Amino acid sequence: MPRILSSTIHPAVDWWRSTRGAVVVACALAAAGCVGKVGEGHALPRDQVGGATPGGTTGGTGAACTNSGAPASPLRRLTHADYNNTVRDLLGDASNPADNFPDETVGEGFSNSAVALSVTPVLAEGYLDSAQKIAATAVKNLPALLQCDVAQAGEEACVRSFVERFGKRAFRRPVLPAEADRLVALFRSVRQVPTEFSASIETLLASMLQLPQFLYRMETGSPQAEPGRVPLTQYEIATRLSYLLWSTMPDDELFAAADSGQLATSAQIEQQARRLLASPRARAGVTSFYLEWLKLRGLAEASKDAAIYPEYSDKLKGAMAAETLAFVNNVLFESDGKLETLFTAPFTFVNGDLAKFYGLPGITGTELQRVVLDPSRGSGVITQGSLMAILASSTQSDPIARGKFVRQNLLCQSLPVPPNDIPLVQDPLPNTTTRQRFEQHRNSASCAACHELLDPVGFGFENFDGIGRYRTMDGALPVDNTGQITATRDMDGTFHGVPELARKLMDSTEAQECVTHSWFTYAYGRPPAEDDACTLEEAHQAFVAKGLDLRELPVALTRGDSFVYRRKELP
Amino acid sequence: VSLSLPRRRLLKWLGLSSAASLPVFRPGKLMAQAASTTPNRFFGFALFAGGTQQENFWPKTTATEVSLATTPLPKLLESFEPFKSKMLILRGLKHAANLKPLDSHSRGLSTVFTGISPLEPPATTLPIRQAGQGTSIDQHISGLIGTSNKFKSLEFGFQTNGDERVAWAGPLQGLPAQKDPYAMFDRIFANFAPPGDPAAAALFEQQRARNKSMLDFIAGELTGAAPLVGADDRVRLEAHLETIRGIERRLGAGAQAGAGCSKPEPGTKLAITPANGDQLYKLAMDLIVAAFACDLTRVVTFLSSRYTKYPWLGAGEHHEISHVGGSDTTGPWYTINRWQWDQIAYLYTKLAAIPAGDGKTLFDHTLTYFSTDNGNGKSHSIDDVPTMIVGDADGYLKTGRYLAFTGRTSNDALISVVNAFGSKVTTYGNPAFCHGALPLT
Repeated sequence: MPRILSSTIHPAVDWWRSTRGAVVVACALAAAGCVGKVGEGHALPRDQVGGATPGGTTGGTGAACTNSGAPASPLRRLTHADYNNTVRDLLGDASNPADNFPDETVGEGFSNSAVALSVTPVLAEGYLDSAQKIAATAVKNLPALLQCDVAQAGEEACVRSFVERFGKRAFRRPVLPAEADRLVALFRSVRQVPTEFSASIETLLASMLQLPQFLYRMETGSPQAEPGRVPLTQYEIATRLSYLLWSTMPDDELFAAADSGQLATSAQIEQQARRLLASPRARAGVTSFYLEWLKLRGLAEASKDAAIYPEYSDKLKGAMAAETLAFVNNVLFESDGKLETLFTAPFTFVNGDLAKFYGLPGITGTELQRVVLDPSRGSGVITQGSLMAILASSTQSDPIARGKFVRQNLLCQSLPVPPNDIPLVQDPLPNTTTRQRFEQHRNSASCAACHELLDPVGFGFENFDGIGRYRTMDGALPVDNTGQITATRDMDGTFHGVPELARKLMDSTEAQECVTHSWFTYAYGRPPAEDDACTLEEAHQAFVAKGLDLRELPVALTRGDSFVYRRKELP
Repeated sequence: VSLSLPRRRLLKWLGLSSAASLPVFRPGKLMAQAASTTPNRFFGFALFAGGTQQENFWPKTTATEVSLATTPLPKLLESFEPFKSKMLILRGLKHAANLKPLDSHSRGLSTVFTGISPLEPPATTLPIRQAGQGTSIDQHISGLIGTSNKFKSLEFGFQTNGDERVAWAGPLQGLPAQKDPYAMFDRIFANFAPPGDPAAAALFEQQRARNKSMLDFIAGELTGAAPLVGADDRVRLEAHLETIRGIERRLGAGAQAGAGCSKPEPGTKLAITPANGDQLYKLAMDLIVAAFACDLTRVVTFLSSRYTKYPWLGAGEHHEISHVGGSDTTGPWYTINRWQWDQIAYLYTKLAAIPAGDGKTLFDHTLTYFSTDNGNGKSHSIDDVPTMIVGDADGYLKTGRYLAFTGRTSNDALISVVNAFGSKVTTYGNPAFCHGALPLT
């Protein structure tokens, strides 16, 4: 049994199957009445796991894991970021039209979750409006758009060549002959209304930008099906690569590789993945994973009581966001890319305002500068003002939110849904610490069952106040930064302060596997299922083999069968 | 595992055509369009999270029924004095469909107007706020009275987050609330040709003709793509197709002349921030009035977010304040709720000033259903949820009363509301929590 699949502590639920619905924590705590749904529909017998070969390797490249899985491939709509980048690369339109679409933020998980990306009436209107604007701009230079001499070749011939050439890039695969016929017929019917030639092209183009072939990543697969599954086409693989790493359509080189069948082996795919990852364009696609996984997009919504935190201005928030972005980019693209660095690095990037806020001397100006932190205080992204302010209420630090973050985001444990935000604790009082006030609600047995999981973890963060400043006093009383974590596979115990917790996390197999699990969920737009066992296992082994180098994960996740096959759906 | 059987089954509900496979929880068969008399406007108002201040929402009485003509209005609703003869303040209703004695706001969002609690893990991998599995009453009502209008419904929000949805077109089809009144203005009044302006009408007609080919083509391609994807994805493509048909319908529909119909002037654009909240709220109310007056829609929902902050009142976040609670009429809990109710009174005042052409006003034609996620925000109780109906549906409802119930649920109130629009359902949402319409007629 491959190492990851042997879960010694919670045998009922293998880690990779612990989707947000599975209940790793609940297994340990069901008896306490915390949650009632233990493993429903998830705790499949181990022998049903496809391809989980007994006696598998540890730390190798996963040769023993021969996958016969038939991975799900839900239809993925372009995210708003994908849409912006795609129209930019397709037509040079850098107006970011999706910024006007309705917000698709999700409360938990990732905003690119395939099943959540539907088209609501307001979004359909957004697509219409955007397509019309983009098309109106594009036809202003009709010769450049058509690349065809209408006077010489004739209108329909030019339209057909446009449909085929532009359509291939818009649909991210060659246009089918029947599709081309339909598009030309659309042009003809609009032209006959009558409409000016240019306006007819405009309508044709606006239509193409609203087609399912453009808005969704349709994956029909190759004709040569295998039992239960079909291989993806070269173009579908190219599209997966470019949206995974660049959040946009394939570039010319990827199209060329697909044209010539050069995405046929995992080595070829990996080579392209590494090429994309090395490009500056990868920053947007890859960084957004970290911003979502670590909840950092929540900063915009994190507002504070100005009477308690007068320092917390929009300007400061902006600097905090910039700090985190700079740090994540530095770790991934300029430093060693290691999980250890992300979680525990004693350095960050601050400008004058932020330095003053953190109490760091000698930094002035608006530019971010690298500063070294006291390693007993600062610990990578986890202690940054942004995250600490997000994981706090408007009036005080929030040990519950912090404990929940560690469980859900860093350990991939699923907590029972409600009551997810009760009871609220009293506002700050002069003669009590936050810790004391939060401990009160655990006097209630019904609350305690779940909050025993959360609060003691969060108490370890008490050195950071509600806006992320380091403190040793909570009001008039000294901070007790003792934390305790239970119900984990390999990191139970007490700790003092965030740096110690971060090191425990970094060394924890459970937390390391959570990184892989989260990356998979983001990369595939869905949580892993049993058919993904080998892909996940191999990716994780590669991550571990490279010394927990985070940069390895998006590449490694393109290597398995889950990347190149889709389930053969019943009609 | 990722697509469990219950979810597959639920998604099938979206088809809505096959009478043979009607799901158990689906609202009853829609009746023929209601008569053209009142009511013909629906306003759904949801105040999140933590409800409103109970102590000053109920009239001071221990009776199970009192007339609002003789009993003073509760303090929070004082501004409703001119409208009290049309009010039904309902006490003792329980959000039973939420299933748990203490409940989360997340679950409440998709339950208050649907009467059925959302899917939860492991049946879904979606966050709970996106996993609503019912059709909300506004959408049900819109099927009865709103299908020929430019907008089947409009979803307004106040300081809402992207994932807060109180209106549900069907299972997993939450309709996002728009918190930006300027974006809403652009949407509602795009291509708006005021009655009696031939130049604008001609422009409108040109655009319509051009867009029709395009939309027909997109609809055809969506239809053609459906067989290429799995069953669950097909449901999403079909929902997408329905939005395209909605746009087509909209292009065909013009505004109808009404005495009070005019395109509002939103004025200098304000930033969408809590600091401007009082003005943004008022703008939203003005837009609702204009949309009703111009008959651009018959159905509106308004969701005040759990995250609503009230800097112009010197108060913090609605949800956090709800947990502190308090029964006084001086603290923030009263102040923010009183302010909310005053805004609704402002909306009613404006609607009551617009003649509907039949001797009545738009207010007379409007029926409001108000609810919230919790009875008591401090304890998260789902008992005794502050509930109110405003509007008598042309005498169908005997209004001007406060009624206290025992053993009844908010599902029963949903039944009463949709029946006021000509529906004849006996259950709404999860039938396990339905006891039939409340005795309000």
